[in-house]
Amino acid sequence: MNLNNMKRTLAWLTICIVALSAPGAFAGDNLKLHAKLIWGCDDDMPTDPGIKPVSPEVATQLKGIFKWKHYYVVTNMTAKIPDKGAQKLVLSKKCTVEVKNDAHTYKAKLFGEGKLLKEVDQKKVAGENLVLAGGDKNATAWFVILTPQE
Amino acid sequence: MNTESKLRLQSYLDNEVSSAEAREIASWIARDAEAKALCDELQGTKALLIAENELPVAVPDSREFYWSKIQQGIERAEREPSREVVARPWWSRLLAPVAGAAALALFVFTSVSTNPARNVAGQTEQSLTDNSITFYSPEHKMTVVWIASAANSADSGSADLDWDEFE
Repeated sequence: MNLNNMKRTLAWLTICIVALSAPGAFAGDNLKLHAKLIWGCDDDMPTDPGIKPVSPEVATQLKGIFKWKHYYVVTNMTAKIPDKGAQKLVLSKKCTVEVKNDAHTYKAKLFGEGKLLKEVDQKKVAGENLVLAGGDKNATAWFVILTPQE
Repeated sequence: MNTESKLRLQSYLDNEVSSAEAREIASWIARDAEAKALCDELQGTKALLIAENELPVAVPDSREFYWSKIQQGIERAEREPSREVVARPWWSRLLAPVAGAAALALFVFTSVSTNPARNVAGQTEQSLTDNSITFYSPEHKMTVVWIASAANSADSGSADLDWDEFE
């Protein structure tokens, strides 16, 4: 093996190592995505037994940004979306998110009562949250949190 | 008799004074009845304590010698020249701020370059096409899109959006 071949091999090896160790590198091109619909309010626990408080970690994240005192999980689901594929995630009767998986990004379309409200392109980085949120009646708020997984 | 005189008498009985001062105190005891009475009392107490097997404690230095050592130490410290501040070259004073600015620039550069889909970390962007605000919190690893027009649609009822809610 001459010097040029060695250099070329070393360069490819370096590229492979960097690509595999880069943050946000995903196994294959499938997108595993956690989706949550969360309700924020200042009142105490709602009477609905199906609604539970968010995990302490999520509560800390949300309280670090938003003003509401309490956050409750309305829906919690995980989706596996193939490369170039799309999937509709029904989070409530009125709230649906359509997620399309591209090579390095994913596109999230938020629908409220069937109407497109927002379209967001987001880079696929494991653990990075995309939060689509808005205010609701009685000074409450809703949050759709999408989190890509490894 | 004041406390100082009583302590001098006690030092004399404990053999903690110089010979010159011992002679002076012995003369004082001979002249002063009160000093004599106190001396007798202290000697009786001392004898009693020895009789009860209290161990004698030897004092290495006399009182005067002990304090003179302290005074010498203070005088020696005062004679030592004060430490002068070593003058540094002018460029070395620029190192800290330049290094800080470089670190900050590196942080901003890496935040933006590794996250091309986002705005600069911590900045808020308002969309011109719809009523939404995009905000990124690097601390919470969270990109937030606050949608005003969706307030009455995504989950329930109507509401007036107040941008202050973002705070």
